[in-house]
Amino acid sequence: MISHRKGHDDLDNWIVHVYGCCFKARYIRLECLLNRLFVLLLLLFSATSSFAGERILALAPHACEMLFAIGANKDIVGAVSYCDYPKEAGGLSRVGAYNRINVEAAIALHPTMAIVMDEQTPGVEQLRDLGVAIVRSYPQRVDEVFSDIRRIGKITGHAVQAEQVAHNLEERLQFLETKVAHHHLNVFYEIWAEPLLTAGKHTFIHDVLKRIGLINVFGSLEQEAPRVNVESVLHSKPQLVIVPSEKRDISARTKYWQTWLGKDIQVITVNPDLLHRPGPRLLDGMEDLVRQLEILYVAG
Amino acid sequence: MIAIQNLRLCRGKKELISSLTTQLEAGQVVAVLGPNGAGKSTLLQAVMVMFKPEHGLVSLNDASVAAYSKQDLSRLIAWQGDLPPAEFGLTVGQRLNLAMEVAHSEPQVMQQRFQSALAYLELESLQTRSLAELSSGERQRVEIAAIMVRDNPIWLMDEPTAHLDLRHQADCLKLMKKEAQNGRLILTVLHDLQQAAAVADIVILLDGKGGVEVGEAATMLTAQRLEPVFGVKLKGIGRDLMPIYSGEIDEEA
Amino acid sequence: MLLDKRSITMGIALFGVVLLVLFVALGMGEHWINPLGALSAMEKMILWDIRLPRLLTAFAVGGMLALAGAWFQVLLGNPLAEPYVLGVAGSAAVGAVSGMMLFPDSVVVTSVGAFIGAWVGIAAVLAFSHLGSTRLLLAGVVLAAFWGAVLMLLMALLPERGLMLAYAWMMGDLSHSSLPIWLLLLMWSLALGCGVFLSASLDKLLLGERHAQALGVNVQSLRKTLLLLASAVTAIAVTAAGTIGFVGLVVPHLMRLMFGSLHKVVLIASAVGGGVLLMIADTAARTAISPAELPVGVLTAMIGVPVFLVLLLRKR
Repeated sequence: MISHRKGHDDLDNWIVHVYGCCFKARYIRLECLLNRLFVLLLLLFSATSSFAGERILALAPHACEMLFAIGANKDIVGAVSYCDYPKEAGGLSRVGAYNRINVEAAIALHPTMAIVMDEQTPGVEQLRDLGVAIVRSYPQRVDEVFSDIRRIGKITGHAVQAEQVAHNLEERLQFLETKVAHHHLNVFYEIWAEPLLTAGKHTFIHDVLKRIGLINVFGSLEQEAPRVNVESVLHSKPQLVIVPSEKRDISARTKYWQTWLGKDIQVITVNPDLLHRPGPRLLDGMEDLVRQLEILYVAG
Repeated sequence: MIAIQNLRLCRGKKELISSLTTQLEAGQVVAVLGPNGAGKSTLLQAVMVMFKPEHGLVSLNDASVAAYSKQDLSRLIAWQGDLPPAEFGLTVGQRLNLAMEVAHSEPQVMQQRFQSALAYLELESLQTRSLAELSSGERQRVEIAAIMVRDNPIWLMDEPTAHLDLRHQADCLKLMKKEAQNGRLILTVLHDLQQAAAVADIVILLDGKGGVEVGEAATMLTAQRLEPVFGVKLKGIGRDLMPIYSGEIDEEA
Repeated sequence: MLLDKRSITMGIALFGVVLLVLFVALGMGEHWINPLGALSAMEKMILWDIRLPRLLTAFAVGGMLALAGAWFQVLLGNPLAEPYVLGVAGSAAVGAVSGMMLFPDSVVVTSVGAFIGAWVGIAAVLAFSHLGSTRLLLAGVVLAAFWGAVLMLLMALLPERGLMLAYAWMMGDLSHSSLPIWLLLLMWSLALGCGVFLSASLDKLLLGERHAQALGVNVQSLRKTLLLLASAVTAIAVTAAGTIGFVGLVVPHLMRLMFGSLHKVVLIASAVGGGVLLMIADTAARTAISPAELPVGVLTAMIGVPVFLVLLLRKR
């Protein structure tokens, strides 16, 4: 901005100077004027390009949330189903689902960049062939959430804000890690009841639990969502059962687990949209979980 | 025994029999003759209540056949038709047992009939074999045995000599003659005119266009009567009735 | 009822086999527990409250599937028929998945949906029950394809988690039963009883409809009864345990290879044999990669196929 002004003053001076000189110089003045205008325009163009930004397709719910968090929401031109947070995201044009992209609808929005979970998803290859920059974001661990926020921030020209968001989240996580009341609790993470499904070693939620200091009793299993049975849960001796769902009837599950694991077993719920989604609200979910644990284990 | 009144049979748009009225008595062998698709099998099925006639009545011992329960009907009329499917691994013995279950006689009598049927049709060695392993001729003999083991007063036989070799064809005809003499009514579809001449007392002739004639075998089985129906040159009468193949076939060749 | 010496010995032998398998399977799990030994309270709970109900569910469901398979084979006159051929399992799956979509957090809705879906499928098939076997089979296969397409449509609309749950349901699960076990065993007994009662007529039906009718069977009413009975049994099995394949197709044939084709024997043997096969398969499913489990439908095929092929080759 400052250089801009200076050029303007120079121009004024220069014009006055030359105009004041002689008539013959008018022709030269015009050429210089045009030159100056050209430089002016160049400056203008480069300045606005740093504000113009990409046209981004948010093809994963967590990517959508990340973009909103770092202030890049104005750059989003299209999203997929389940991009439901924040509320404004509901107004975005839909171009398919996380696992199938409607290329036609996507291209109609003239995107320049797309953030995807999996490059093998049908439609991604076509977008790439049509010149859209494909950015992969599928954090498998808590740390990757922070690094992805930073990476997306840099790519979209919102690096400063992204750094703020990531740093803030890291601080909150560090604070959580100092709380000791819940450390080394054995947890059975019940993704579903019939059949009993839980999370294995290579899942995001397994890492989330680990960072909070909870031990996933089935954390040795290689499968992503292994099927287990009551007997194996019994043998693994969990102290806590976590059910990812805010709406599932916790009293029924509590009664159920009390019959097999004894009256001391605690059963709590968490919001899967917060804990399973590798996005900026992850710490909201983790903090809520720790809060619940404090109530259960510090008081008692 | 069986009275047929104004029977009209149609399959879809085609009229098989426009009107048949006749009386069939015990002790008779009645042969049903006619070209393919004339309605011969259909007539048997109509008697058996397996096919619904457009019009008319079939009565058995003065009661409509439709009024009989399926069980009672099966004790009076035995039907031999196409070969039953063999994929399910039934053995000869099992298949015959199924037929016998319907007859309710004493076990010894049934056992006797079973053995004599096996003997007559030379099926003793095949008793434990699965139907799927047999030739079509052997399976046909099983079907005839299946009728023999029951003691029904009426036999409906749809081409009983199909698939059989000459000797067994002769045995089958002998059987039919004998059983008729024992008092059974045998209504049979036959393709072979000589066979018909050998066993039939009465002939029902279907011309394939809805027309039907009933008469004594002797009068019906002549070249004049049959040539227009079958469209083949015939010579001789009665048991000597024969199609003449030579002329036309040589010309076309 | 044949109560001759041979039948009684066979009956005792069958019962003995069931008890033996039950005993061994009870003991197997993450840790072997001797059912007759001295047991801690925890071990008792595992044996009688966890493993036993599961084994009994497996027995009842396996037996019912095998019975339904045998019935469909004679009804349609086709050895390739099996309980899901007329689309009842497909419509049940559609019902279960629809339930999952409408009430994503309810656990019981999948069973309710499956049951309702199964009966919708049965009603659709009954409309064609008056047709001959081949036509009925054709109608059923086409209906099954339709349900399959609807299912794919629904699954395309499901979120990732819902998709995982749908697959889990479809692959079959005996670890719980939405229907009480006494009800399942009762159904098993009733089904077997009906089957044995009808076995004479069913044998005649093996000869084809015309021959059966000529032997005094009321074919139309028998076919309707059979269709309804077989479909109802399939619906119960699928509601209780999801769609477990293979048992209904192969067990009846296995029993025919071993014992001949007469229905009284085949049906009893299938009801028991199917139950035993599923007990074995389920035990393998829950112990092979312990503490995780394999879907039981995979095991029924892996165990059943070699046995079947060996027997098939031997008989030729």
